[in-house]
Amino acid sequence: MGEENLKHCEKCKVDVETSADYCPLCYSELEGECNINKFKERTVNEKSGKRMAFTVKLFGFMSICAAIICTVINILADPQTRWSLIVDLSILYVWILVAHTILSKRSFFEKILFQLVMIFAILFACERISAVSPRWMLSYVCPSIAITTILTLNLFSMIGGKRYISIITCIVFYVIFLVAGSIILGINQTDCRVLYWVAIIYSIVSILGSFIFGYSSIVNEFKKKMHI
Amino acid sequence: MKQGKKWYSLDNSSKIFPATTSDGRKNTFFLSAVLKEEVNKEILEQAVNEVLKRFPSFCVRLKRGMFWYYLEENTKPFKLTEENANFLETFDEKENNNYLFKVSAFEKKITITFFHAITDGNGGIEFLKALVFEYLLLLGKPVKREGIIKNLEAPALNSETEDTSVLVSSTDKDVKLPKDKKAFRTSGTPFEYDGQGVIIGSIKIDELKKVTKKYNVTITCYLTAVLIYSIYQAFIQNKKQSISLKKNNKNVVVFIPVNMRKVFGGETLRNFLGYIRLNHDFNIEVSFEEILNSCKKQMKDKLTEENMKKLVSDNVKIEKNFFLRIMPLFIKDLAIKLSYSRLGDCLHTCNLSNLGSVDIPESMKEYVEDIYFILDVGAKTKTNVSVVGYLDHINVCFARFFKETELERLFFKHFSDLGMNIKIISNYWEKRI
Repeated sequence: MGEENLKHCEKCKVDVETSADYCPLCYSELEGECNINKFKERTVNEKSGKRMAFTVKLFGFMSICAAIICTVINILADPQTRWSLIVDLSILYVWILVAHTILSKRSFFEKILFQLVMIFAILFACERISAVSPRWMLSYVCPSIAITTILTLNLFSMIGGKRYISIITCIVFYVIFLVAGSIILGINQTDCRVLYWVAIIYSIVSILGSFIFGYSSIVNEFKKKMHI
Repeated sequence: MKQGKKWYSLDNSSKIFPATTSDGRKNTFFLSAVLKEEVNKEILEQAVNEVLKRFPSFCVRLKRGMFWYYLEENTKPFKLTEENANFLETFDEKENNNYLFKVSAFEKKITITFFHAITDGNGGIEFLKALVFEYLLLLGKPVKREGIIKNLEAPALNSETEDTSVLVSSTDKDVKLPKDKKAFRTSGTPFEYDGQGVIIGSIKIDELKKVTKKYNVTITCYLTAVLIYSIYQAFIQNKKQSISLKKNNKNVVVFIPVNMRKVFGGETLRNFLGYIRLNHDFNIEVSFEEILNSCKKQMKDKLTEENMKKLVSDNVKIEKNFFLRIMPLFIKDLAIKLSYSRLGDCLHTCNLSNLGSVDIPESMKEYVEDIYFILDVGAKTKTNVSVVGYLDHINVCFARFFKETELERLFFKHFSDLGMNIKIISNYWEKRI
């Protein structure tokens, strides 16, 4: 028999500290009394991954059904307008929004950048599909989104500080909007130059403000992010 | 100029951990202290927040730079987490404020789960000792540091946060990476539920030393030989069908981390590890004594200061390579992941990590019953062994990613056949509830 308060396995000749009835090495029955467990017991019998996979399959199935139904109705009822493509793109966007932005652990910078790219791409596609005014996207939507994004970044920086977004990330976005806006103005691809000028001036002011009020933060962030 | 948050670049050994962490490889390890009374969670949380002030290299979060990951000071308060029964841990903002370690309490046991990027086993043990000491102090127990526990009122030393690998590496031009053969991989019936099986066996040090003295080997060498022989008996000998055997791969390799502080000195609490690989190719039948002699010879040949310095220099040279340094991080991540799959996991059968004997003040011994050290396993490496000594015994912990326990049975049978008194505990992960 084993030590006090321990069970004993006669086959393995070992003492076992457990409340279970069998030896963990050979599965033979243990002799003796013991009620001690050093490890927390499991409470579920299934792999957690199975539940998540079912949810994904369910929403995937519903998305495919919605896309197919809309496409069929579009073709049968009004094949000229191709409105179902906009529905399909919207469903795709929702999947990307959930997977890449809401559920992922990517950085703030990656999430905003990806969202901007996706929104521009989808709106551009919608412009092509809808055959309304040919340059409404580039003339009005793009600069409006840029101004809104700059405003949002300014608000995040002022209210939350470094908690939400680093100052270098903000400056990178300001520079992207400044350069992109300047290029589009330069090649004269817009019907509304005013909005672009607003976006460009707002970017310049934001960059200047970042350097004036956050120079030491910029230097610290630069050393951290760019160390090789 | 405003200082901003402190930050540290990852040390040389840690640089691969963020890139290689996945569902199949968590890169975590667990250190537990079993006390003689039930743990008070509020006091424990208070103790952790006190101890963190003295251990700045643990008070960090992981961030991405343009070229490398780095560790930035974490100013959020530390929160205890619930003990996770399955040993599968992730570190995120929601659960523990982005700290790279977790502290949990279950009945009388305090467990710290470390992400390997911040420290190795030796650094982790220092933190555990300081935490348990502070916890007992807050409970009003009459414990004294006795020169063993770090003083929380003293400032952290620079030597505790430095990357010592860079300091000891040499600039010799003659550098060659080792070319090892692919290793035999253990396998078995997967669990039906997420998690790993854990079996810990306690062996008396005196009884073990009698045997090791007889063969004139170290404890690590002897345990490695028994492990290699047990793997052979459990998975290779008389087994007809297995993927590895079909490819005729019977090369059992045990990866043994080496505490470089014992070789080169240094007080760093971050990673400072080398390694050796002990192997035996079982293409012909051999006895245990032959394996033991082979391990003894390999250890003598491989575990030299010159080899360790060369290993450190190789790793530092790779890190300092100009083209690698200027490569953007997302490309580096991909490259490290791919190369580690080819050159890392497949080159060893399992790890055997021996922390040695843990020394705590005499005044603490009456409150601390035992210490455990557990490695994680996953789909990449399905078996790992870890060893830690406390008082008069060592705890040998097996972690496995499948149901079968033949390896553990044969390993401990070797010692019980020699007449040693073995005590076993298990998490019974295969048990259906």
